[in-house]
Amino acid sequence: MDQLTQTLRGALVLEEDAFVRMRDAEDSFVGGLMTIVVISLVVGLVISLVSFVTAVGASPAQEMVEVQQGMRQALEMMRGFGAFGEGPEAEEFWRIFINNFEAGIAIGERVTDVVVDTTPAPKPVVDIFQALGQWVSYPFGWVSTWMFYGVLTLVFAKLLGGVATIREMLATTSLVAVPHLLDAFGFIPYVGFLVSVIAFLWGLLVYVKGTAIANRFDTGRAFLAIVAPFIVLFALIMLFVLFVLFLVLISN
Amino acid sequence: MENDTSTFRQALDALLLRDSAYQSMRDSPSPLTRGLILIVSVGVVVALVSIVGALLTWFTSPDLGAIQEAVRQGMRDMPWWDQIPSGERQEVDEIIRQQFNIGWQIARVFAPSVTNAVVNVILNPVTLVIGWLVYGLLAFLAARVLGGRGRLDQTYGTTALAVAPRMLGVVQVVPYVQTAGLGIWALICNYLAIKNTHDLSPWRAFWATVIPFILLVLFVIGLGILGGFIAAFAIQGGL
Repeated sequence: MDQLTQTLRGALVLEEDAFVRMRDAEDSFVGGLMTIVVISLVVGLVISLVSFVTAVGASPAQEMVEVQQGMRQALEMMRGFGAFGEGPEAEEFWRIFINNFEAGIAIGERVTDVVVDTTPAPKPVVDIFQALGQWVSYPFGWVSTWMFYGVLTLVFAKLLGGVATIREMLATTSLVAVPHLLDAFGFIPYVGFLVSVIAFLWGLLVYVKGTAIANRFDTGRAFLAIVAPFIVLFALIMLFVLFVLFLVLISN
Repeated sequence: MENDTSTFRQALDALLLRDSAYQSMRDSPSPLTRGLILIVSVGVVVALVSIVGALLTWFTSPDLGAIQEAVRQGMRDMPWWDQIPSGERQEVDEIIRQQFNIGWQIARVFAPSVTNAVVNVILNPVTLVIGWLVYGLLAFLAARVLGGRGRLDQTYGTTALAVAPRMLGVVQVVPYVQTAGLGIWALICNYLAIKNTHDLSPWRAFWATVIPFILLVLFVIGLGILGGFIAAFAIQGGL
């Protein structure tokens, strides 16, 4: 366990030994899986707890009033900027629009009442189960992203001369999760977004290093292997667009 | 019983991508039977556990029918409703009701329900077994074309271990859990299964793993095109 902690700490400062230790460990995949699962559970616990506290503190009716007020303010602001035009026709349009908007909000209020009236369990129990479900789902989301992108990158790394096995690749790239511990602070307004951006960029550096070490090649090729799936996807989309354009031209 | 325990242990090792699990399944005396037992067991156990999850989801969810009625009633109270000429209202209401119900029926199919969960006790293992039989055969053919040396029963035995990630579906005992992404884990397990059974190089094993999926996608596209042709022919022929 001490060695794993040391490896995780080393990964944060892109220490080569940390990645090599992870790659060459006897049960490298298990180490990687543990890293992802534990970190995602920590991050998920914080986020789910915050969601739970927020949900317990709010009443559905109050939430509806807040939504209505927020949307009304936004619409009034848009109207102030002339988004709905000017003159008698625009006034008439605004009147009809607002009437339908209020009716839409009334549907929302009615549905909120139905949700409260027809749910067998009391609201705190619902909130607990929803938070628990959200928390338990976290490792699945993280593991699937890690595996999916790991396989995709490995395919391109192999094309670029990489020699990693699937286990080595997943083991070294699992260290990407370490900087993402910062995502636990994602719920803080404004600061949370900034912290998430830092975690992403830091994670990207760790991922490049992990791919390079697993494949025994330089970081330039590792970076190329990581961005290649996006380049190929973009090329495929462009090809599809060109194909559709070609069909349209032919049919004309 | 001992055999079942060792198959279960193999499945756990397969989940952790240990080659030894695939190799011992390949070399076991009856890989096909063991694979079948594993798949059916996982399918039934996960479906049974999911019933508890579905019950808890029902306990903590509102009545979809009541929400549907509230939305429908609310739509009729909207200002645009009054602008419809009274003589046409019944007809418009009927058209809206039909369209509206289609959407809700689709939502009901995908919404977790206790009935669906109970039906899944039968449906889940059957679907898994059919998928395994089709995939195993196609993977075996692809591997053989690419120079593989494994037998069909060995391929079935080892690819059955790719059901291992689905064992994690037992967490669905907790409502609202999303177990997305287990498919990619199963795909990696299939890759190791084919590689170890047929003694293929990494690239060949990769192609033998994905070719069955490519073939299945092509088959579905082919069916779609064929269906389109038949429909067009029927319309033109006035059938």
